[in-house]
Amino acid sequence: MDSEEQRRQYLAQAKAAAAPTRAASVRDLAAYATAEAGDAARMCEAISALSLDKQNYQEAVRALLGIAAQPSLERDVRLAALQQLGVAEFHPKRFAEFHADYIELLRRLATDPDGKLREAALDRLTLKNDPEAQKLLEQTLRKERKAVVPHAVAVQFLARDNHGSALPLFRELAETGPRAVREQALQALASDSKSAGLFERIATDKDERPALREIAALNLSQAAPARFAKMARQVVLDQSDADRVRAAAASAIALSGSDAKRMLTPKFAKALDAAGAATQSRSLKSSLDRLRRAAAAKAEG
Amino acid sequence: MPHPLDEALNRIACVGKGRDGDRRLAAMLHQDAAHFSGLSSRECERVRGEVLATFEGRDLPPEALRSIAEELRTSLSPVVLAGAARALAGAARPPADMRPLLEGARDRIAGRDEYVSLGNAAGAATGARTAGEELRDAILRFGEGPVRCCGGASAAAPRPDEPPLSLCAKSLRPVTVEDQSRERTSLVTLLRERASLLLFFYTRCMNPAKCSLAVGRLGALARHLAEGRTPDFNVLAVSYDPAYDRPERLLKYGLDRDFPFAPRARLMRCAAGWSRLRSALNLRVGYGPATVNDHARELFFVSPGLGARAVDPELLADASTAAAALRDFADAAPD
Repeated sequence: MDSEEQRRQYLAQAKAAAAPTRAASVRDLAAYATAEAGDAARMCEAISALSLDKQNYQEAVRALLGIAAQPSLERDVRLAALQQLGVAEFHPKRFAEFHADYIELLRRLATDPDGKLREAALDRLTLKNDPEAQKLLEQTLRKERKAVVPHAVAVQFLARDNHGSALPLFRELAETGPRAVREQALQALASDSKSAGLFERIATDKDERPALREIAALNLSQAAPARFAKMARQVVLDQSDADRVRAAAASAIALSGSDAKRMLTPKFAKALDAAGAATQSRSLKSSLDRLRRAAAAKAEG
Repeated sequence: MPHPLDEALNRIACVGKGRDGDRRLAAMLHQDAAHFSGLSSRECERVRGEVLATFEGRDLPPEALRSIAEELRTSLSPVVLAGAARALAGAARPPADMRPLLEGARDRIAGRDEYVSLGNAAGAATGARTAGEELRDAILRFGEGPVRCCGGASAAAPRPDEPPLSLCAKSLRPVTVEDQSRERTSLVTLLRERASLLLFFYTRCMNPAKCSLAVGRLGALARHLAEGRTPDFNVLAVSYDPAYDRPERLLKYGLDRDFPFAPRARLMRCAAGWSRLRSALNLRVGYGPATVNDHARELFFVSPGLGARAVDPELLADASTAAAALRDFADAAPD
């Protein structure tokens, strides 16, 4: 999910939460779960308003587990139940007795016929580095099974485990995957020092998309600082390169460690002055200015 | 081509019965064993859980018991703890000192319990139960009544079957270490200056009961020593993950744990020669595609004459006890 979509969803939820809602009882939810038909929107509201205080907690969580697991219920109702279970999980001591059943439920939902339920379940499971979820996602990316989530989402979820085994797969996808997948795979490789060659190749390739080159440059600054320093200097001063990429390289130098900062010589500062004068781009001017100030501070220090 | 995880699991199923089989199984728990190489941390946990569960109904050699105790003491993994519980539940005479460790594991797993499906000796999965249920069953075997706790540290070596090591200065000469302030030095030169305590860790360790706790405790020992009551030692921690644990990360990690950085108290990585050091000390660490996939808790005393001895990491739990043990080691070690 991209950040703009996340922001929209969050604002919608906050607005809904602020609206006055009738408090729901567990009896209401249980009745809905066994009824032939119900008002799904009202039930979603009721689930969100369900009390999780100490008195009602056990009964509420059991009801929520039942609703989320029930394939005959509407998807949005089941998603609301999952959401509320996430809230319940914030009481770890009370939730402890339900944790095993909750994980089991999420693992079942990871292969549910409904895509949004699958994604919600895998989202929660991969936050816990669940191995069964990881297996499904790797099989999706290797096309060994029907995709459980879109490939870019699969990469994003798998990348959460920095002790995982998907790194070789990310390296492959960063080179050859479709557009959105390449971007996610490259981000997933952020701290992989063995991918330094790949990062440098992408960062210096003017035929690559600027967004990809920016990610590659940032990754290189972390994975191989000395190599990054050399590359970034060339990119920053190259007036034929994209302004956006030059700005990203300049910012990365300003923020990076001593390997890059070692190049902030008076000669380089002079070259930055010339580069700043030659460009019309405000963001590039701003990044170059920041870098110039860092060079001046180093010269004084 | 079979997945490396499936290969490892098949290997477990092929281990025969009897004393030799029991020893082979115990050796399969070494974190640096070949079948763990390239697996993710979660996959390693699955293999460890299965190895441990395979001990059910078998004799438990001392090395297996030590591994089980260590898992019960530190592991957060439901599958590993379930395997450890299964191994003990099947033992004819479960050692009494395991009970407090089982109880500690049961409490630790309470908020992260899961259903775990473990194979039996023939490889077919038996019915799924939670790790908590497995641990409770294992505890029940000890019956009622208090058990004298001896889950604390001993000064004994954690690997008594391995003799003390004599490190070779020539083969370690290429090993250069870099500390949190970017100072580089030859490891051999550093170790020859004075007696040293050498801990291994890495900043991305996900188990707070392992590296984070160990470095915190090492820092407490360094502070105790700095108060001047004992002859001076080097108190050093070396990263298992030298490519990632660069000086700025070592610095932040130590500061977050109040590590008292000083010329004789440092966090370090190998800038060169890591594989030599790893091999020289037979370090129990395995690697996946990204980073360390599993490791033992490892602490060594090293004399200025480069004699090395593995030490129980629980020794660090009390700084004054650790300092006293260091003094004894230093007095006994030839220069």
